[in-house]
Amino acid sequence: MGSGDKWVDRNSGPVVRPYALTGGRTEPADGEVLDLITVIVAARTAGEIDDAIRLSPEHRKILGLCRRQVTLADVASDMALPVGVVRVLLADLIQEGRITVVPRRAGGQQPSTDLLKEVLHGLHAL
Amino acid sequence: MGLSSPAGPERPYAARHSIRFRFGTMVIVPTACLVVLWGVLVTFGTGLDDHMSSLTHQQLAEMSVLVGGGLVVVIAGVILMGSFARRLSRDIGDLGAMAQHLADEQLPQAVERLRRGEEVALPDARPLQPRTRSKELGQAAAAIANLQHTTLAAAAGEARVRNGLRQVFISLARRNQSLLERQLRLIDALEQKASDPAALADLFSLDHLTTRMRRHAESLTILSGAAPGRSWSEPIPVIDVIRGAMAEVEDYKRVTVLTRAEDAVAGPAVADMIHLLAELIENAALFSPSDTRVEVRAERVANGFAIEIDDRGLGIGPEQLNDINQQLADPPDFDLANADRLGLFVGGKLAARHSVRISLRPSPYGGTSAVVLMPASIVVPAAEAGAAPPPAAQPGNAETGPLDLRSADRLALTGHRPPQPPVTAPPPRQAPPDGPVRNSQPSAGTYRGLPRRTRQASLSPHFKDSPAAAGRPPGAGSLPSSEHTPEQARDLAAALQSGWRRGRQAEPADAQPAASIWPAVGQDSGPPQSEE
Amino acid sequence: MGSTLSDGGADGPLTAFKIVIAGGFGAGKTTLVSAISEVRPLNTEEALSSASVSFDDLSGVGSKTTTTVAMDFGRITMGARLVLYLFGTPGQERFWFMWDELCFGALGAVILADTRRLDDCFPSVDYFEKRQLPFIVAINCFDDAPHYDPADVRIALDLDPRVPAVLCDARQAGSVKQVLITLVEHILSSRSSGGSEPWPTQAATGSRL
Repeated sequence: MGSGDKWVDRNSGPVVRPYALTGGRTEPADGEVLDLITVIVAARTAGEIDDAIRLSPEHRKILGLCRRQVTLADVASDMALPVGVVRVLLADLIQEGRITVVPRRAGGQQPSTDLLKEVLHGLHAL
Repeated sequence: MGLSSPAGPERPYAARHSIRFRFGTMVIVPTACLVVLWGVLVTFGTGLDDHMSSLTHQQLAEMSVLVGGGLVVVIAGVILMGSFARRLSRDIGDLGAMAQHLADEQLPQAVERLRRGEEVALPDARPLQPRTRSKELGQAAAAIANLQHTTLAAAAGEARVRNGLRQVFISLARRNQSLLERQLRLIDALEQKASDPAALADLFSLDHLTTRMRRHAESLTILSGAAPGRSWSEPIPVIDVIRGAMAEVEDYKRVTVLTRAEDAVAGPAVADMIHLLAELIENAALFSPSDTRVEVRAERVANGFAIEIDDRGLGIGPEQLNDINQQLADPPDFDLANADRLGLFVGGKLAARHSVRISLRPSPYGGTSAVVLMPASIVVPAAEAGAAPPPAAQPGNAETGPLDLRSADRLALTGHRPPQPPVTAPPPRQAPPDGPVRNSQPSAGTYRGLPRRTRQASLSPHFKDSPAAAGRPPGAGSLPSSEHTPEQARDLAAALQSGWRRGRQAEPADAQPAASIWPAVGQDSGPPQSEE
Repeated sequence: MGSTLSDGGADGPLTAFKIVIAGGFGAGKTTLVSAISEVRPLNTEEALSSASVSFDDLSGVGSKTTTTVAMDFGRITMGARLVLYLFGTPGQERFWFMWDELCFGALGAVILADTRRLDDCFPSVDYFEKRQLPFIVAINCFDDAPHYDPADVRIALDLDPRVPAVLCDARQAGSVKQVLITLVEHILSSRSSGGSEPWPTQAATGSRL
């Protein structure tokens, strides 16, 4: 300890603390807690990000990441933010209609046998 | 506290005159009068005037010479005295000038240098060699030199004490900050792992508190004249600097940041700017009603980059505004008596360090606008900053990108291995075992050297259903109270499920009610769903 | 709100699955995931825990090894419409609450067993049995571990006879691929055989927590 202590760059953590990214909110806007592998994508009719002044840099970055289909896990990992924070930001965008959740291909609680066979096939092909 | 004049009967000073004048009044005039008097007495007292006519020329001449000689002696005496007095006057004047020089220039300069922390050589007690040859005056000069020495020694002593105090502050503040940084890293990790919003909210509160504590620790470091503990080597986007400052303020939820600017603040100025803005934002929030917003705008201007902080409070009166602006433009020395204006002092000092101009003015909403003008020297324009602006948080995984078809070059089936994490050999066994924590399981013996599992004996009590008593081994003991109340757990389950449902198409009409939300194989509830 | 069907692109909607990788501390979960993942997982658990027993000394550790998704996280893309995620379970006991979230909706699990500390994986076996999540046991081959026949391990673990127990080398992508294939085949075959017998300790499927 002593006068040598210095915290340079990321050693002092993020410049903006996580709570400041969501204004202290931890509940997603619509109350739904998305599972980690929920697939999301930016809506086609997303419209201009002209009123960008209301979107924070993180919102915009998420929109950028969602140009192709990705999962929540991917986004959280790329953003390097806690999943809880990403969920809140994502819910904001979903509520504004800028991002939509991609429903699973086959319904039902369990994945269909066909899907499983696809997975198997995909694994074999690795 | 401090110096005070001793109380006592005041001696009225008689008016003072120069030595010359006094010489004139006390020597020349009386002597002249005495000479005249003597002349008059002699002339009229001895009846000389009667004999004047009967005197011969020679006798007259002799008398004149006598009288003249006497006068000359007297005048010579007066002149000699005068010269002596003049020399004395000059010497004393020298002494006076010397003392004046000490008081007006030398001592203040030395004290100033001591205050800045520089070394000052204490002069000898007797280097002052006035021209005087008088012993008394020499002693007076020595006394003055002594005085100077003593004063300087006292000032140096004070400076030492003050310096020592500063070092103590810096050391304490650093230690504090060190602990708080560690606490923040811990909180960072916990926030990563928090899964439900309620837990994250608690962590946010903790985070906020800790961040404010860190700010104050760093402020103390700055006040004591040392550099802040945090520093940045790369430019940081202005919007992040503003939000970083906002996060250090108690009422951060009332603050709105409105900017499209993509410029960045140069690395060396980031820490100071965060503190500066935090002071101003905090002031804005403090002096406005708690249901009003504080708005922060930022944009590039001709003279650099401007950040404006508007509050909707009552505003500040024009004279006080003037006063504050004065202090901000020209921060006075840190006068500890001004403790209530601390924020102002810090702000002013930080601004001065980077040639940042701060000015307060009334805002159109009736409150106050604080405008911070950063010179172009500490702002990096968007074009250069924008190449790969560091995100507000840390960068994530390497190599992530849009999903691509088959990154065959990365999937090594043989040979080339992706870089391994550092732990390849198992580390020494740590106390906490894996996952759903085991109870102290009753030993079921071993099988060929391997421990045997007793079914469901190792499951964490948090996962045990209250009704599922069947099959629980006798030694399990009573359930400790769960930190996750059943309600919370149910809420989480419900939230997850609805989120999960989001990711599926509408359920088929004959879907089983969500008896078990686990899409498990082999449910009791009947044959598995056939594919749709 | 989320009812707008988005096809997400010319290829159709993307489907994501997850497989949970469980196992004791140091059993090799991170190794397994990184052997096959197209993204490099950054593991907080082992990096932190190998430095100290708990979170006591985080100076300098956090910035380099923080994982945002808070666990070993790997990804395997299979074509434009299918992606498989591998999530490692957290090792520390205090993160028990993450298990349910992790395992929710998972295809199945791989329990990585270390024969030197077999009892470390007992809680995982208990958990997946309770949650009725399909799983297999993969016995990781460590250089200094005594060699065991999978049959011995299966007896020690008191596994249901239909649950596969296989040997694997978590460092080799080929071996890991085989493990995952075994799991998916197990899931498929369990379905076609029409369900399994309830375990003796199986909780009523109605209640969850």
